[in-house]
Amino acid sequence: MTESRIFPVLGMMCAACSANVERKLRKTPGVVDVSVSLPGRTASVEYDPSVVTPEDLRREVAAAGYQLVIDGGAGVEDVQRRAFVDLRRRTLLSWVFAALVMLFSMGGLFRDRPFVGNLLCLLLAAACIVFCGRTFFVTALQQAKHRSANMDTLVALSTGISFLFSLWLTFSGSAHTWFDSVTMITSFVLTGRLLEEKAKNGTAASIRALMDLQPKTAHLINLDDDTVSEVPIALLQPRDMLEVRSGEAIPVDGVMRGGNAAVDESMITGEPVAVPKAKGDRLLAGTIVKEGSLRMRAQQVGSDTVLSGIIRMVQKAQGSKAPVQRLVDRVALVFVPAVLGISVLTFCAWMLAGAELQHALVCAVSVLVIACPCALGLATPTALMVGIGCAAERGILVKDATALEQLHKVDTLVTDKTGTLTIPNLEIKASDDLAFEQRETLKPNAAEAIRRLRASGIDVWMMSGDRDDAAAYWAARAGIEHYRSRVMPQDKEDLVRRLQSEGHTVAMIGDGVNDAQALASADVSIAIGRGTDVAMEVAQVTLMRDDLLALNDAVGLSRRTVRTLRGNLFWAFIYNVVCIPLAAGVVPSVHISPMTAAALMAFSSVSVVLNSLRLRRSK
Amino acid sequence: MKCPHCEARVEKQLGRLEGVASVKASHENACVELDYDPAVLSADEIVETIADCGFEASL
Repeated sequence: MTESRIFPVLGMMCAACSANVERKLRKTPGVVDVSVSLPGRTASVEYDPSVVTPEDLRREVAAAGYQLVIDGGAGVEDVQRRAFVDLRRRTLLSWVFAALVMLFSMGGLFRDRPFVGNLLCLLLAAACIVFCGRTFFVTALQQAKHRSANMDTLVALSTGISFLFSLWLTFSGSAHTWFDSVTMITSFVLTGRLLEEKAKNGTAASIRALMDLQPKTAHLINLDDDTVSEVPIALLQPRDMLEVRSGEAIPVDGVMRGGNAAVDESMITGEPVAVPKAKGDRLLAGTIVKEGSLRMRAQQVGSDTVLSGIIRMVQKAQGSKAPVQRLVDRVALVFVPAVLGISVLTFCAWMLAGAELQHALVCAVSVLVIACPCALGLATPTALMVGIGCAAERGILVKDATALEQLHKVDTLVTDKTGTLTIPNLEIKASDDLAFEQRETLKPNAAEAIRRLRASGIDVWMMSGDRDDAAAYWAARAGIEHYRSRVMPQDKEDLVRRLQSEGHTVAMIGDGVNDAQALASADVSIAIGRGTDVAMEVAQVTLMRDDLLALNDAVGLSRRTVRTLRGNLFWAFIYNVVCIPLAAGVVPSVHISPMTAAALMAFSSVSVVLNSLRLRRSK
Repeated sequence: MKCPHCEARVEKQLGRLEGVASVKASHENACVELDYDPAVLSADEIVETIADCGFEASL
């Protein structure tokens, strides 16, 4: 038996970091599968608990220089918060040093006594490295011990070389030093990270919004004396009687036992109108009592609630990797060593070409600084995280990144009829003398949803167990051209496979029971359910809102996500391909100083995250 | 039901329901006896009410 858990991981800065953590975990005996998310700062691990314990995993990751947190909860947020505040402090301080160094080296204050000016700059640059840039060196050393390298290695090397060379220049009596490069590189890299952290927090906003739905306390009713007391929800047990008042969120899943209330379930189902609830109705944690108040009996508490299940699923999906990401990860793993190689090569080439030592060093350092594995590493996961988060906010649960990436390619949709396109009229179903047509009603929006799907280039097939004339009737009502009647579960699967063999990418939508076979063979499986449904377990995508228009939203979101993702990858790639040769000084008249290189690098990684965040605003 | 206290809780909650004439719970015999009007109150509701008190009931 294996177990799956999501652990927060602290200290990951770039794609090389997440690749290192992933490689380390993958090599650990007992670990079956690993997926490390850089923007989510999590590792999703499937492992055999009889072979390896979370404590072993923590030790493995710690050996690679990162922190895997076993006992999650508020502690992690706290640590991350403190790390962020610390980063902000160091960034500000670093800019103070940078400004002073600039003033002393360029302001002309020490024009007559360059040695004094250089000495002052030396002290400031040293302070900047010690107080602001220390982490780069610590991480680089840790990495070096394991014969690996990451972004920090590049920063530590470039600032280190600049500093040592300037030290030598100072004491050899040269007027011009590059202490300004040391402080500026540190400042720009730190600023880039700060903005990146801020933006990454934005990509995780939707999951936090879901978590915040759960109230912290609940009103527990003591049946013996009818008193109500406020207790933390961690203490609630199944079978506790609770009171929920107007405007409050329902704390746990349960059944309504009294009172009168309408409940806003939009956060779970996407349904915008509050639903009136009666005694015996099911209530879900995180939904909000709009009018009136109610009494309920707790049934599922803590991590067993539907909301917790959704949060876990979205988290897992956001940490999962799209196929394209695996390729990017492989590139990231060799990226930093490759850049180190190019840098050394640049230095040697300039020296051989007879250039001055100083020029050769400037070019080599610029190459180290300008290379940006961050942009490459963040391109895919940030776009997917925002895409999956946005989907969850609209009542579309996406189980893995692959499904979201596949969905944009879908050109054929196979749909089940009853339960998906139509609702059976239970009251009158029994009487046999009715036409078939009267036993069911077309779902509102079904025809409109089909029309929009076809307009966006998706061919729709309907499958029904009905007689031919009935199937034809409903297909016409829904605006569907192709249909099959009298189908058995096996036929559904056959049709999906046939369409696939004709070269189509097929999505299958159904209510999950008799469609399971066909769902499993489709390229993308979609269940339409009411949130509490088990269908959530089967399909890759679940429409929580019983409305086919949600399918249009899902397709649109997938297309936009993939477009963003490709744009990100393209620009990140082009950036590195263009900038590294420029920094190396290949183009004669173009000269990129280490400072400019640092600014460009910071800008490129921030722009990738910002581009992903644009998805949140697109409709 | 384990004690007289449990009995009292079940009796109190059932006694409050509309349509219940009399109720007697016994933890020794693990049962509840009650007179009620089936037109006003369903057996399901009785089972659910007992469940509210933290016990399981069958008919």
